[in-house]
Amino acid sequence: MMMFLSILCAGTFVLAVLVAMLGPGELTDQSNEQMRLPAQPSRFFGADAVRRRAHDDLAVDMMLAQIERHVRQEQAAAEAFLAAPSPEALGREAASPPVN
Amino acid sequence: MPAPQTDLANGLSDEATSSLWALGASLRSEAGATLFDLGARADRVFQVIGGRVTLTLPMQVRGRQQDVLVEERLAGETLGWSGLIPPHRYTLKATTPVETELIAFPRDVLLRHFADNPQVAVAVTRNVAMVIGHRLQVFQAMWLREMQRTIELRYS
Repeated sequence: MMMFLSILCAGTFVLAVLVAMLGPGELTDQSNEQMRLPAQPSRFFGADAVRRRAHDDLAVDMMLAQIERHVRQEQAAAEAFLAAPSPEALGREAASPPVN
Repeated sequence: MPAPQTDLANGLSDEATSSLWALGASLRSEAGATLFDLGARADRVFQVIGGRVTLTLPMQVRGRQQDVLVEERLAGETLGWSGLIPPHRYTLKATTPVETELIAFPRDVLLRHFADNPQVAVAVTRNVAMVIGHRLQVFQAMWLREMQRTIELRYS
């Protein structure tokens, strides 16, 4: 009887050690799997609106930069025309594409 | 310190230029500061000594009002001639994108000086007329170029 109990205790101990070695990783991964939620766009504080606003700001900044470049080049072309007025100088293409 | 060479003092003797300069007040405008707003009462003429002034007009860009560059003024150039020409309202907004040094001439001080010095008055008025005339000619040419493009786009 004593021997049976000793073998039973030793077996339980070995099993416990094995579970302790393998278990935590498996359990953590499982619990991570359970906690991992499908990606959803955040709706906190209108995150979409903020992103859209940032995109609009960038588009406006780009357009303003394009207008500014166009104005500078057109002024340079106008100054060149005034320095030596001629129909050709007035119609000469500036480097920038027209904004309109 | 000798008076800086600027388009406002073109044709004036050194003595007359120094007297004119003594009427102005030095002004240092920080980067990003507004010198004057569109439509504001114009009681000063400015001379840029160093730095840069951008002159803008409001334009609707994607449904928002934005200040769009119209002209720039660099060292030696004059701006704010509405300070001398009625109805004395600035027709553009002026900002300094970088720290800029200017001399500001109050209209009433200038007019008193002109009354006492008619030759200076003639020279400065002619110089202001040249600034205005040059702007008119540049914008005439720019406007015609835009019109040409509009015609080409519409009838192409």
